[in-house]
Amino acid sequence: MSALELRDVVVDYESRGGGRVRAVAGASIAVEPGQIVGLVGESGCGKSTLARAAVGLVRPTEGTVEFEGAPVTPLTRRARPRDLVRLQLVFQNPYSSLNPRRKIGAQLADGRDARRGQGARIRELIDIVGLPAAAAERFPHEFSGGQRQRVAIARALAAEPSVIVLDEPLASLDASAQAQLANLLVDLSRELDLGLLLISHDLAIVRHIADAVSVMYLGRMVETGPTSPLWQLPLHPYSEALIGAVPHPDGTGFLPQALPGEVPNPASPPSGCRFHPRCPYAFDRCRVDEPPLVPLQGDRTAACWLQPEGASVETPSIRRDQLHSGASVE
Amino acid sequence: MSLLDVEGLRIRLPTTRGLVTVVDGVDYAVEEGEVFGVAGESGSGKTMSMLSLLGLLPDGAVVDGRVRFGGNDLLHMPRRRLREVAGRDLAMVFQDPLTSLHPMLSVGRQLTEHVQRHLGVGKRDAERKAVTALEEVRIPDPAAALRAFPHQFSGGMRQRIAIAIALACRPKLLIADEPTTALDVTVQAGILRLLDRLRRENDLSVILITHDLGVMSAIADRVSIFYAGRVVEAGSREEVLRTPRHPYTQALLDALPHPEAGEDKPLVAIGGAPPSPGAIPSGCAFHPRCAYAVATCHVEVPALVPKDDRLLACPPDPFAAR
Repeated sequence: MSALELRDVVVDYESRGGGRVRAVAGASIAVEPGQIVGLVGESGCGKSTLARAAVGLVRPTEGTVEFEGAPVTPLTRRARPRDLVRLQLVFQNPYSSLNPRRKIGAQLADGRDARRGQGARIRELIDIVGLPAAAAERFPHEFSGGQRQRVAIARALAAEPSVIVLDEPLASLDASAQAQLANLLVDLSRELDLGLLLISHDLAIVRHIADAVSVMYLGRMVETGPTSPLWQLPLHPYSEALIGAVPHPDGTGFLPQALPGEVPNPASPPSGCRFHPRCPYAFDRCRVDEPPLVPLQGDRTAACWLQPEGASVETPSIRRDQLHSGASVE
Repeated sequence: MSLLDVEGLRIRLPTTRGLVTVVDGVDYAVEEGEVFGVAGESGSGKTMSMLSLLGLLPDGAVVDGRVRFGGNDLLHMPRRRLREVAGRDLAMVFQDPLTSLHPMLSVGRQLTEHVQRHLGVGKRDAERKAVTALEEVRIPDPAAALRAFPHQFSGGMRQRIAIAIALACRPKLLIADEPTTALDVTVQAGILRLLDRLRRENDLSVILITHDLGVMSAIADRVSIFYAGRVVEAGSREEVLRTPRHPYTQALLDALPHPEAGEDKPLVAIGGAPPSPGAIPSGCAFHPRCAYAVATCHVEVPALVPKDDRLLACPPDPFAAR
């Protein structure tokens, strides 16, 4: 059983004027204990909405969200079920998620109270995330961005979670602070057997710390798989474009590949494959039929007409050549 | 003669505890048609040193040194004249286009007003130039875009519009401060390619300020690494990023996840935090975080001196051998 599992989740938002926007259009993702799962995609692809559905901040229109086998019930005015305390969320901006007028120690104690625990572990928590012991007596504004994000993580850990969902936790930090936090997340996951769902638009970081990656486009998963093989040989044209756009800090003057066009408005998604208007490999079928996410070899999945179910691992361009030459795909 | 020549630039900002030095003696030059990269962590003085060129420092700031730009001394120029020169020949693009674009004015109004003011052309001409400017940055349907407002565009499109406005008057130098930091990688790649094309086709010079060495590596010709208000290493992109000589440059690179690095190579974070202005360590400002510091580093401020094909402010020079 997965620690956190979202199955075929659909999230609709009411838009002004009475219309509906489908932010998540049937997406599944699972996090195992001790596993770091990266969720990547351009802004507007629905990854933050999926994160909110994962912790019960928005109610899915369809599909199920289960945490340790029990359904995650959306937040209402009534108290949140006690067991859900073990499912925590860390936001992008720690300055807006911490109370500026209360000391760090007091804010961490809140998390302990939620678990009916004592405040004695607060010093330990501060130590785990690598802050000086004196931090408990300080206010959020006395810390740098990276340190504040550590406080936010300590606050999540105070509740002794088994899964933490992190929404862009490393954005807006300097490279060095980013590296420190990325290493901290890996250590926490390994030592505490924590499942982490890491939402990020920074592919290089995800590539470095995630065990598995899901690539999302316009409300749907287009590819999933173990991180390293997926990075070396992306199977979906969109994953390929995302990875090709990452700059290399090696002084060679490598100019990253631009992906033309923009993420379409989710209120009126393109027909057929949602990616086809931007896809360099698109052919007739892509404009009409939407490809399902199918299992491929090597524990991978992709939603692309170039990648038939059960096929071996091969780049989209080789698959296209095979298709045009009429060769059968194994 | 270089397009821009900065010598001994020193900036002190007023705080409640008196003047605090944020830029402490910086020299650099930018040539025509080159992309000059400036890298460093937040608080290293990158942005302040650029704002000083445009006369945009906060009130009460004390600036010393010399900044020559096309025969003018930007630091000692009457404000009116600076606005004339800076408005036409110098342009700046900021990290967040939403804060630099006026939310209540149409894109067309913001573009034409700027063109009319600095080029002294009529409304018709200005509109034609505005359309060209939007075409140049590849905005689809420029005529419709002119009538639209900033909020109607995505982040990437907004940054393109901000660049179009900046470039509409054909400036000689564009200062781009973290122009892609808030954007998706796919859009970032588009902006980087755009800057690269404008540099090649229009001979535009660009100062690219970024903390992302990957972005810098994509289009900068020469780079300067800032630390605590000083330049610690400078040279060609290849030299500095492929064989860094300053321990700080090396540390910055070690902290970055390289997209083609080997399996499970952990990121090496730099210990400690960058010093805050007003509390700069003695000697080499990097010494408390430096694994290679020797006794003199604690007391002597290292000068930026030529070493092989680059400039380096690190007398121990621990990576000299490679």
